[in-house]
Amino acid sequence: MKILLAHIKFQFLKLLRNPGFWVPTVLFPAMLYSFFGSSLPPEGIYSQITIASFCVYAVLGVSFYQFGVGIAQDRESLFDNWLKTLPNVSIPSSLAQVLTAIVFSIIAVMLVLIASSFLGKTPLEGQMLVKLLLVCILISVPASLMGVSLGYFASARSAPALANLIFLPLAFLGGLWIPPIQMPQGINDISIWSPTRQMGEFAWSAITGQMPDTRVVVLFIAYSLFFGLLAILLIAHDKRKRFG
Amino acid sequence: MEIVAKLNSVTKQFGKITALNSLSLEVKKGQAIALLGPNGAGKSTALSILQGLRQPSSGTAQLFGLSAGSKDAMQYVGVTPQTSDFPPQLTPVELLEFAVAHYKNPAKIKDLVEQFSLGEIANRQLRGFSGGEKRKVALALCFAGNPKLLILDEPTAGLDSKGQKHFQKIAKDYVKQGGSVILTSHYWQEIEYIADSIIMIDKGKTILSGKIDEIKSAVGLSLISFTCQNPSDFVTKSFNYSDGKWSAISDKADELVVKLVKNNEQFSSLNINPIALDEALNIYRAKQTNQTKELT
Repeated sequence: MKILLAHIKFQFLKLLRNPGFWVPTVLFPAMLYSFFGSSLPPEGIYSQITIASFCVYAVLGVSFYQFGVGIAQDRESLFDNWLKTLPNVSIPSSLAQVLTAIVFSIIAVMLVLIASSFLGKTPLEGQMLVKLLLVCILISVPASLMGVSLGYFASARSAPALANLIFLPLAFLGGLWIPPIQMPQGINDISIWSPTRQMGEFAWSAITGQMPDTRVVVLFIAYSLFFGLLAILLIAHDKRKRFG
Repeated sequence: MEIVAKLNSVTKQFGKITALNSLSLEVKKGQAIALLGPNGAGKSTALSILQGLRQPSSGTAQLFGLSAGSKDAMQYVGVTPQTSDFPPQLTPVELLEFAVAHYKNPAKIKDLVEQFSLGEIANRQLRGFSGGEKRKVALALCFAGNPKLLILDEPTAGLDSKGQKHFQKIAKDYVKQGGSVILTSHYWQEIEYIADSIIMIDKGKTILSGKIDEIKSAVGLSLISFTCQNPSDFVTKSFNYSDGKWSAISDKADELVVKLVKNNEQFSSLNINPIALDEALNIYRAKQTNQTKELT
């Protein structure tokens, strides 16, 4: 427990004192919602769906940058090699990364929700909020696994660019910025197969109160398994390469 | 005596490259060993295997009788971190707090701050630290777990001469108190001061090993130096002049001194010391090579 707490503090201090991390990941979704999201849709459920979309976008951003960019940079860090010489380090280190990602995701989501309570045409109600928060935790699983895969695939130098290159188009493709109904048909045909669309569908179902389609559930699970497997393979490859 | 670190016929291959070729070494309690060799000799690979960061292709690596790198073994080992990637957002005290949390019997942070003269920088974020300041933090981190074995890879690189001497004294005292050290360094003076034995490796193989004193006495040469006013032809022909001193390396130091006295040379500040380790090693290796040639 003492070691886990030390790692949590270590991760938090590293990230909290690094505006390069928390401005684009934690603050940016709420800023983007305030500037654009809040003025996009008409009143009613579409306004609430937009809030849910920006919450998914917030979770995705933290996962991509904290895991994707963070892991890629740690892998090439000589200091990280020293960390591995400390006793009992690997499990607390991984757990602390996951816990800090959850906390930062919750903060990013909460900021979107706070912004929406002031600027949203129709803010979320109590039960919707709870459901949406639970969905955000669920979404963080495949999102984190995508981040981990990126972190073990990309180099420290290429990771930030690759994260942007994947994250922003995926957010757009998933209908997190523009509702699918407003997408050109061709884009929407691709969108329904994208991982971010499944995440979006889950979040929107928290607003509409309807269960997501079977296709969405199956694809969501399939993507989670796929990125989980990919992460395991890439971690094993990295372990062989760096520590074999 | 208790063996704290052991490589037993360790071979390490990276594809077709053999980084270590059946390398064996032992470090006992209270022993300080310097691992020497040219760049690419395999020193870093050997240290990585001892730290559990690399696995041997064949052979075994142990620390305190346990598998190298295992969590139980690493309780007793202090390793110097590379300073280039220190998290810039943290302070030395925060880093030390983080490190000590991993050990059952850690050092006191206050003591480490004092011992490594970190007082003025202890609570400043590491961003903007000079190389020397970061190095001091790295050395303090190495002692965070009250280790029984220190693995020091170029420990004083980047430190000024005062800082180097300060750390060398800490390391020497640590060995005197029963600690063990495995050291790599480019500073011969540092090696000689901290280590009692050397293992020289090249192309992953041990080419020379032994106690520093024994190697020096086997070479049998001394460095004689003195200052002299109005040196005679004997002095100018037999000695080299540099930095205000006359000096020569000889296996007959006593005879040279007798001659100086007999010639009534006006010399002072006479010193007779064993020659420096790097020169002794060169001569020792040359002697070994000649003996091998004679045998064959």
